Amino acid sequence: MEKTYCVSCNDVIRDSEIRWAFDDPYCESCFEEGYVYCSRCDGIVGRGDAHTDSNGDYYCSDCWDEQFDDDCPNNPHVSSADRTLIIELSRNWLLGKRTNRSLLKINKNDSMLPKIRDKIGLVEQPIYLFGLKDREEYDLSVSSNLIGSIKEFLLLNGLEWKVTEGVGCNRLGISLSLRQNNFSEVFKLVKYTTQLRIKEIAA
Amino acid sequence: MSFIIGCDPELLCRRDGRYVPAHNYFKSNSSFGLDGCESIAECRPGYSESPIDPTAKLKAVIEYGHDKAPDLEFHAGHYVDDHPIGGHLHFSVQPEPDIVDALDIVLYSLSNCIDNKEQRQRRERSGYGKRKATRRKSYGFEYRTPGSWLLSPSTTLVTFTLAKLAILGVTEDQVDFEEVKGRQHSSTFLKNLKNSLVTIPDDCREGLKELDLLLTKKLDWNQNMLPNWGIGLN
Repeated sequence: MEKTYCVSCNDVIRDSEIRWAFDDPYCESCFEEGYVYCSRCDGIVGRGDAHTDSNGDYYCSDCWDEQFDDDCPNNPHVSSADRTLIIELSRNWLLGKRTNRSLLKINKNDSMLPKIRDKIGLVEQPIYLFGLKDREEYDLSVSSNLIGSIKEFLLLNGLEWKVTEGVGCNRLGISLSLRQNNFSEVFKLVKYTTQLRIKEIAA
Repeated sequence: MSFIIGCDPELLCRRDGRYVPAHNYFKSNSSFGLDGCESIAECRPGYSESPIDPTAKLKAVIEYGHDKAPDLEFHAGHYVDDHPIGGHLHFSVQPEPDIVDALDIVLYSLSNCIDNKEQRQRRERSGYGKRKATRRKSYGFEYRTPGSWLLSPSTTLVTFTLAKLAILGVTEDQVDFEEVKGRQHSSTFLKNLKNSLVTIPDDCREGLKELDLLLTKKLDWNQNMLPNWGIGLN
């Protein structure tokens, strides 16, 4: 009679103890080590490919994609600027007033941008900040309505950063090297731009 | 004694003024997810000791929901478009009877003052929102009585604040809330509540201030809550 070998450890497995995964025979311990069952569809998933939720339940990729939205903020960080905004919103709602200030919009996947957002605090006309990869051609990507104030700031501060005109409105993209090495100047640039925006609107 | 506050309040989605099932737009197990029957959206913002922080976290989560489905209106309350909606609160303490009694007296008083009673009754008759309803959890317990208080950041902050003060009143100051409430009207009881408490943490002062104003308002629960959170105004 033909013997069955575990495809992982090569041990001989008795027929009653074979565990199958994708047509391959495994011994009990190798199967447990290599595979889990999806807690939703009960399909077999390689342990390395399985997604795990906060309860420790496993999911195959299809079920995970159907059930979980990985972009949703998970226990989001709250800064002092967030607290200031929520209190302002609360009080204004009670008083029947509209809140005109908000925080800068940022791409939250970047580690430096939240620091700039929190330090700038509440502004009346928020701009959108996003991170850029380092490129030879430019350091800043700026929407056309902001480009004048950005170039003015660079000139006044003797900064030779390369600027390109980007799409949309109220958008400022900042290269990785500037975010990492020039935080103070980048902060001042954003503050300057935001204040100018307020003055423009007031005028 | 410090403890953590969390929550999973629900909200109903409407498009062009009509109910739409939340599962058409959102995935179930996310911070802006779905309740068990998947027809209602449910927010899981995370947790914090301070009442202000989960309120701010909720804003971030609701904002994400709006960004994902900008055509939708979100509604809070007890019972909207034939759906019961809840505002469960989570606490990292054990559900001792005196703690649950305190939450019941304080938060049901708030509900008496600001909630839509007809909606509340319909939710209760659908089998939800029973007074003192709790469920034990690994972190402590879930208090299941309140309807969805997500109408505005202020209703949210005041709910968290009163919940925290009710628990601290029992654990720190041994307040007997039943005795304090006595035969007072809910509004009078809440207006005077701060005088019965010794322990009032700094992070509860804003909510207490807003409570005084909130008690003077007549709330319209039949409204899209997004503008109240400063979302979708532009």
